[in-house]
Amino acid sequence: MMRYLISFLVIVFCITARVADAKVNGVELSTPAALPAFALQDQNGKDFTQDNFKGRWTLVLMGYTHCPDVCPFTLSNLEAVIAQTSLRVRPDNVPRVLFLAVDPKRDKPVMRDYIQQFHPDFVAATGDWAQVKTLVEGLDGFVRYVKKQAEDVYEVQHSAAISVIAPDGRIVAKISPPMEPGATAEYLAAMQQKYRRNRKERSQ
Amino acid sequence: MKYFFTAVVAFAIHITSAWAGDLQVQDAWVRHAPPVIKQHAGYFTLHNTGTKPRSLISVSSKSYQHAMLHASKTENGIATMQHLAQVTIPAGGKVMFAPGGLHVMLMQPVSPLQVGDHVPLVLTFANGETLPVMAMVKKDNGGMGHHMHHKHHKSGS
Repeated sequence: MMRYLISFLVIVFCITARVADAKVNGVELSTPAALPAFALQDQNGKDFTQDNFKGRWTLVLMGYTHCPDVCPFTLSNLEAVIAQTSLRVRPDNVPRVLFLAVDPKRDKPVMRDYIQQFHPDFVAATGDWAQVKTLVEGLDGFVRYVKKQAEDVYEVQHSAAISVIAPDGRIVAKISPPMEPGATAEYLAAMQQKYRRNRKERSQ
Repeated sequence: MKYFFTAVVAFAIHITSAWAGDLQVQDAWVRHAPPVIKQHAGYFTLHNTGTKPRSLISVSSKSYQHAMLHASKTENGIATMQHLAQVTIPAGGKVMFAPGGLHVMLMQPVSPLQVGDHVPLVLTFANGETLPVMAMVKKDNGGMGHHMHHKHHKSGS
């Protein structure tokens, strides 16, 4: 019996030590920030507005479909983060991933095929540049088009951070990739607990 | 059955590794993308077992119309890409091309690529030496990329 107990403790220690070791490069906003009104369309052509953030957790990543390295890497990384988070929170608290496509001209025709390869539940949204810009700025983000090397060959520089949107539609944190999936899942689960606690206190 | 697996592993190492003189390439792969996406990224680890630093000056592939050496960087929170004229591999050292960092930007695939396909790459060094490599098309594992513990096959010995 003692032997089992010791093995159990060793396993628990290893797991907690590993999680403690891995750092999450995240910043929680001291005051959650509200988002401006915007009107985008998702990969299926359905409207995606600020109201779509209400009622569930969302992780927003800015990117563009022709980005060969960082964007697909971060989306795969997010897939791993979501898988780990789903082991730690209730199914309805598993965050949805929103890929905010900041190169509408090239992204719009291909983003459906693009986003599907990462996860069937991931959402991609884009729209008129003014609307994309509204959400980018609302997320305190940045997008810049770099001089064209040729027609349809150009780079789009964009904010790297992932925005965490709470079910009340406000930004509560930013996380910088790359993310260690397990530690990030712990970070998100703890943030959700805190959010629920704060809401409970406010409603009392 | 054991021999079968050994053979499979040996073959896998064989097709993802290449060496010429002091230079060795391992774990060469290209990230799979749906056919609508015409810009891909290729990765590998380049070892220099020699006593002099070596410079990779270009990569080409007959599976793509263009290829360029690139580095992704995050500066002040902004993700950017930089075109590199060369990448130097220190004597006795290695350079890892890995997601989120150094990569070969592969543009305009000649035909659609599936997971498991092989992409021939030719690495050209400053002294004129070339190194042919086979990169496998696969999906990103979503872990930690260059921060992750990669398996290092010992080959070429």
